[in-house]
This record gives sequence, C-alpha cells and structure tokens, in this order.
Amino acid sequence: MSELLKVEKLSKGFGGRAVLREVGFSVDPGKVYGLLGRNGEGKTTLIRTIMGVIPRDAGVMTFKGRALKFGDADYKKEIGYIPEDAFFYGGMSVGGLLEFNGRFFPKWDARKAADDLERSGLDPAAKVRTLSRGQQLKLAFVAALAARPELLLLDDPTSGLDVPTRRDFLRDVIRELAAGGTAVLFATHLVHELERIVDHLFIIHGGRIVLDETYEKVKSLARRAVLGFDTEPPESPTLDGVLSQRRTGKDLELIVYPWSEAVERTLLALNAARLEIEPLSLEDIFTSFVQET
Amino acid sequence: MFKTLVIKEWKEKAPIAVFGLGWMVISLAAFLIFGDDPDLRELMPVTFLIIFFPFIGVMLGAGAFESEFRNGSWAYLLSRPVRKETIWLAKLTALLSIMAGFWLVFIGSMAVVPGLGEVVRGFKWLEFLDPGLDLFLLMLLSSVLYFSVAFSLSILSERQLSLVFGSFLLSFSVQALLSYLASQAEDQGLLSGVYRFLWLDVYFLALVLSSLAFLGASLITFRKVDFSQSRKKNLSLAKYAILFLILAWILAVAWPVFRPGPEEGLSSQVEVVGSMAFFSTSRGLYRYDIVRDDLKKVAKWRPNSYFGVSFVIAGGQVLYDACGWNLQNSPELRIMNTDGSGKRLLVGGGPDGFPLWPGYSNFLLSPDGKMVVYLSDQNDETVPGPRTAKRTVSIGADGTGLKKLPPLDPALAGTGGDIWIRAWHEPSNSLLLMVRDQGSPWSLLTYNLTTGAQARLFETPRAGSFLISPGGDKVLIVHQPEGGGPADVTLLDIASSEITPVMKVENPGESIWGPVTRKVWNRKGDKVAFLAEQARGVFTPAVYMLKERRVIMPGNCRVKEMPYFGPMLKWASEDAKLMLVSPEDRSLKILDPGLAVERSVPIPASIGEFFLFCATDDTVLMGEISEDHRGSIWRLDLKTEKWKRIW
Repeated sequence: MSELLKVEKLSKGFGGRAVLREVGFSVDPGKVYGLLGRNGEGKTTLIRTIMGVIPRDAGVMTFKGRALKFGDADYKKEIGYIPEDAFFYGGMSVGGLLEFNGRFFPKWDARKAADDLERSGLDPAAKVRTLSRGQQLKLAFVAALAARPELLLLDDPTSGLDVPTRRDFLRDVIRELAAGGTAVLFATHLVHELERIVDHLFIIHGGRIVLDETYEKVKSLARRAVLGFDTEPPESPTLDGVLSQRRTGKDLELIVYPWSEAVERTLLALNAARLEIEPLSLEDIFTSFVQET
Repeated sequence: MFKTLVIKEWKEKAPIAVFGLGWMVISLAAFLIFGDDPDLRELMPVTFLIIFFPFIGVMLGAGAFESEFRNGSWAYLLSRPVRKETIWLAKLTALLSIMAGFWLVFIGSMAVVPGLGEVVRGFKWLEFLDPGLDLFLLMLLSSVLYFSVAFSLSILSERQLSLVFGSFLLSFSVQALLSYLASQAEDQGLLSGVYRFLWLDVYFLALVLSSLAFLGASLITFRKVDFSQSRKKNLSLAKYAILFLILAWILAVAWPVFRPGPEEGLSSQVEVVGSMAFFSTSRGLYRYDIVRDDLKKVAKWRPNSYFGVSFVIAGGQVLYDACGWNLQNSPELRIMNTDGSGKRLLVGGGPDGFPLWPGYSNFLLSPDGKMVVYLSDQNDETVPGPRTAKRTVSIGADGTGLKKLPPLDPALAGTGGDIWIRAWHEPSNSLLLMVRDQGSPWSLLTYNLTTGAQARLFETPRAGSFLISPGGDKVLIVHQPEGGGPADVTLLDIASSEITPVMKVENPGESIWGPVTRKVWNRKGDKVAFLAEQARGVFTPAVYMLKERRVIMPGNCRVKEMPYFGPMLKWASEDAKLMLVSPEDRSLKILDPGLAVERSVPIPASIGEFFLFCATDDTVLMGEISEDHRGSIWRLDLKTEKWKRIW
C-alpha cells in the first residue's frame, strides 16, 4: 500500500538549537505508529510541523503523494490532531464546539459525533471551560474521530489521564481506528501504553530517528545478554549493535539490537561461565536507545 | 469556513460590543440631558469622539489573537484545515465590522439626536491647525490606526494589559510623529513647497497607509512565522512594520506628485496663428484647426491645481513654461513646433535657470521663432509672482548660444520692481519691456538686443493703459490724468517716437476698467478697436484707423454690463468686421465697418461666464471658464449661426 505520510530530512530548530535533525520516516494506512522520545526530544515539534502549526527549517513532507508547503490547509481535512493539552475555546459549549469544528471537515460525521459524545458522557450544553482535563481530552477525541481522518496524530494526549481511561481509550479507540484503515501516529513518553497496540516504532533521540522498525521485529531482535565470568570480565567485545553495557562485579550486561546468530556466536566465544539471553520489554528497549552514553 | 470564523469572533467579542454600546447610550443620554449647557454641549460629544473610538479600537484590536495565545488554543486554530490568511482575514473582518457598527450607530445618532450632528460638524477647536480639519474624519481614521496597531501587536503577546497599553503608546507616537511632519510640511519645513496646500490630505492619507502598514506586517508575520518562538514573532512584526511604515510614508509624501489631479481646467489664454487656435489647459496645450474643425493635443504636462501654463507662438514654434510637481524649484522653459513635434527642454534650473513662478509668462520668441529671451531671477525669493530680473538672457530656439544680456539700467528700471517682456520690435531688434520700480508708475522701455541700449518710451500709472501692436511697432496709450478729467488716447510709433493723438474720452465715472478698455489690434496692425465709456457705466465700441488717422465711434451700439475680465472685442472677416460680446442680452454682435450692428447671434445659456477668444473669417471661438477653473470652448459658425462645443 502506498505511503500516507512521508517525511524526509526534516529539520527544525529554535533559537539556534537544533531540535529535529534530518528526520525521515513514513506512515502507511491502517497501522499504529508509536513515536517514542524523552521529554523535550522534539515529538511535539515534529507533530506541529506536520500539522503546519509551525514552519520547518528544511526537509520535505508529502501527504498522499502531494508535497506539503507551510501554509497548506487542505490536507488537514484528512488528519485528526490531538495535542497534549487539548485547548479549545472555553466560551463555547461542547455541542457548539463540535458544530464549529465540523464546518472545517468535509467528511464530518455528525451522527458519529453525537454517538461518541453520548458514550463519553459529556453534556453537549456544558461550557468547554467547565470540563476537566480528561473530559476535554474525550471531547478532543470525539471531534477528531468524527472528522473521519485518514491519519490521526496524537501528541502525548494521555499523560494526564487516569489509568482506566487510558486503557479504555487505547484498547477501544486506536485499534478500532486502525482496523478502519486510519493510520495513527502516537507520540508519547509513556512507553508501556504502546505495548499492546503499536505496529511500528519510531524512537527519536538527539533530534534524529534512531529506531524505525516494526514492533514485532524490535521485540524479536532486542536482547539483554548477561555474561558471568569467574574472573574480571574482559574488555568490551567488538560487537555490532551493543546499545549499552554494564559491569556488575564479574558480570557483564549487554543490551543488543539487532540480535543475530553472529552476535550470539561472538558472545559464546568469550567463554563466559554463564550466558543468559532474554528478550527486552519495550521500556527497556526505549531506555537503551535514549540513554545518554 | 470564513463565515464560521467570523461568527466565532463576533460571539467572542460580544462583551466588548455590549460595553461599547452601553458607553454610547450613556454618552448620548448625557448629551440629551445636559446639552443645554453651552460648555458641555460641545465638550461631551467631542470628548466622546476623541476618547471612545481610539479606546474601542484598541480594545477590539488587542483581543484579536491575544486570547488564543493566552489559553493555548492557537495551536488548535492553526491546525484546522483553513488557510492562515483566512483566519487572519476573518478576525479582521469581524472586528472591523464591530468598529464600523459603532461608527454607524454614532452617525445614526448624529442624524437622530437633536443638535449632535451640528456640534460634531461645527467643531472649531482644531481650526488653528487648518480650517479644513474635520474632527469626524480625523477620529475615524485615528481609530482605524489605533485598531490596526493593536490588532498587529496582539499576535505578539498574551498579556492583554501590556497589549492595550503598548498599542496606545505606539499608535499615539505614530500619530504624533505624523502630525509633527505634517505641521512641518504646512509651515516652513522641508516639504512646504509641495505640501503647502495639501498637507491635510497627505496627513490623512498617511494615517490610512500607516494603518495598512501595520496590518500588512501583521498578515505577513501571521502567515510565515513560527508562533512558538516569541523572538521571531517580535522581530518579524517589527521588521515589516518599520519597512511598511516607511513605504507608507513615502507613498503619502509622493501622492501629490502622482495624484490624478483636478479635472482638466481651461486657461484664459488663446492664441491664433493663421487658422490655428492654441489654448492651454491644466494638462496640456491644444491646437485647434478652425477650418477643419480638428482638435489635437500637442503637448501634455502634469496637472497643476494652481497655475496655468503660459505660451507664446512665433515662427512656427511654441515656447511654453512647464512646471514640475515642485512648484518652487523646477519651472522649465520648453519649446516645440506648432504641430507638437520637436519638443525639447530649453532652460531648466541651474544658474541660468528659469525660476519664475509658473503661470507668469515672462519670455518671448523672436518673430522668426529662432531666438528666445527670458528673464532669469536667481534671488531664490519664496514669494510667488513676478519679481526683479537679475538678468535678461537670450538663447537660440535650438538651445544653443545662451547669452546673458547687459543688465537693465537701474535709473530706468529701478532695482527691485517688476519687469515684463511685452513685445519684440523686429526692425530695431529691440524688446519692449514694461517695468516698474517699487512704488513707481509703469514704464515702457525699449531694450536693444544688439547694442544693449535702453530707453524709456513713456510712463503710465496703469499697467493696462497701453496695447502694443502685433508687429511691436505701435503702442496705443491711454493717459488718465490723476484727479479725473478726460483721458487722452494716443498712438506711439516705436521707431520714430512720434505720438499721434487719437481721441479724448470723457471720464464720466470711476470704472474699474478705466474709460478705455478691451483694446484689440487687428492682425495687420492698421486698426485698433476699444470700448470707450460714454456715460457712467455705458461703453461703446470705437475703432481708430491708423492710415486715415480717424476714429469711428457712432455711439449707437452700447454695452452696459461688463464682465470682470476677458476679451469682448475681436476682429473677424479679414479684419473687416468687429465682434462684440454683449453680456446684457447674451449675444454676439457682428458690427459692420461703420460699427453698426449687422446682426446679433444669441449665446447659448449653456455657456456661462464667457470670453470671446478669437474670431476668424467665418468662425468665432468663445470660451467659458467657471469659478472652479473648469471650462469649455465653443465654436460658432457665422454662416449657419450654429454653436458647437469643441472642448
């Protein structure tokens, strides 16, 4: 299937500080993409740049094969965007805001908006400013989904929500969207939220995409190897893919990505008294990629 | 989407609208209640105008983007599928429409509330600046400026108080600077030469363009700049605002140069050469072929509201003065062939320049059209009008051979009076100059261009007391003795200095034109006609025949109403017949050689203030110049007695 969104060599800086450095990736329809990065690593900047909220310094973006310029507006009709803080016009009512929002989107599904609003338990007459943060987020989802987007950009929206809400949201909404052909790019630093839903992972660090791989592959190729020696551990072995290593007494712990038979043979050749190899959690993988060395 | 955004803005700004309307209602109520007090009667509405509209402009403008930055919804707004220009324009439209609403309510109140309109229209406090200063217009434009500044600044900050204060400060500063510059232009400043008459228009234009400058800077910044970076926002707005303000002010200052100008106005000068009539307007010189009834514009010049262009024709050349947009510094002397070809600049500015005040012709072509003389005055005096020539300059019509002629003898011409070049006496290659020292009578001098010899021919207290013949060899002189008594009409022969008595005219009244007026030579120069006052305010045409040395004045043709100025007599039919305008019955009378009325042709009512411009064998050209300097030229076919407007 053709790419829905493609980003090439995208760079953006603030006041001389580069936040994004030649970032490139692509998004296909019907998949859920996780964009992981520590706070301040440029996730919000990347998403705002895609949404044309802020201009890019360099790079090319295409949406459905069409190159995007800063100031273009039409492509946004097919993109749902939920920022970290879903600020709306506080003076509007919930129903009024949805009506206002609906006028911008040609595929606006008023019935879906009404159904989702009812499911969310929000009062259409309530003023937006009276809603809690969680309620505002629900409203944001109602508004975004009723637009029938082809791409949904989520900028860490669940960070302030309680666990049951987050879980429901993740299970119900995102998978439903992906099943319907909508691509979801979910930026977050709460790694565990992605474990059960993500198809593809991007990890952004130091302004660059340091990991761009399917979740399955990442899970299968990331390993922690602990080598136990009777004497002092040897110097670090010459080995591709070592993300981190740690010495604890006579033990040497290595985080390796991608794991391969060649790596395993190299480690066996070190004649350690003990060799333990185990898969990594997503959180461990993320931590290994973004930790400062 | 635009409509959606506009409605959203209206809803958001409803509290300001209610607040403003409340203020207006209270003010109007106060005017109605306390309007009887003569002090309060003007104070209240004027204070309201001066305070309310700038204030409401700033309040509306400052709220344009400020709330979105304050609550963070700007990212939401900018991520909607709508172009930034649309967002910007929707906000501007919504807010300006609220402003317009306030103005409409106020205008409506002026019409409805008794006395309010009169007070606002009759406001006088600012008359010391300019009588034409309209407070209503001033505050309307000022409020737009205050709004525009606040609207622009609102993209910079989420702090409303700072925005309001900053907007007031910046708007006031811009307006104060403009006012200062305008006062300089109006007074004695750098621009006074150009803007003496236009400073108020330029000032108002500058207010409008300054408003547009701020709005333009706001639009570009809103479209291009990363709103998450305050420094970039600030720098962008400042950069474009300064750039556009400079452009706006340059445009405002340049406007008088490029403005369309007034409607084309007619000058009162018409010269006839053969069958061609030439007349100038505020925009050019026209040549009218009387026989073919064909009008052609042979020269164009920049419209000038205040002065016409003078020209002389001789030897197939037209010599004319042309002033540029700067009335003080750039009058020029230009020349061309009578068909409009071969236009060239003869004399511009500089040490030998032609700096006379435009509209005061002081130049002459030799009868063969090959030589030009003009008066050059490098005094740099700022007072308009004719002034003492420091040099008489001659130059070939081809632009070569510029020569400063010997100065005039102070004993003859004085040192600080007026000098006019009047005629070129070809046989002696002399100029006839009319000169007057300050406080002295006018003198007619001869100035020999070959030898520089100068001589006084006669003195007369009235500049209009003589008329030089077409060949420059005879002068009809009217002597009016001081203290009353009959006027002597004499004829002076330039070559021989012989003076021939023509007639005595009783001086029955104190006519502003004198007892002999509207003198006109025929083309050959052997007859001269004039109107002589027979009884108080009653004039009759007379003709002096040079060869016969006799006057024809039957006295039965009378004129009782005289237009203030303008020719009333012209020769026609190969100098055989005289045309006379008769204002009292609005007719043109054709007189036979004995000055009896041969026939009378009514002048159409559509010709208002008329002048008889010229008459050829079968055609009369009559012009109309109204008070606003517009006009028209009409042609009368003497055979058919049909009038036709030709310009």
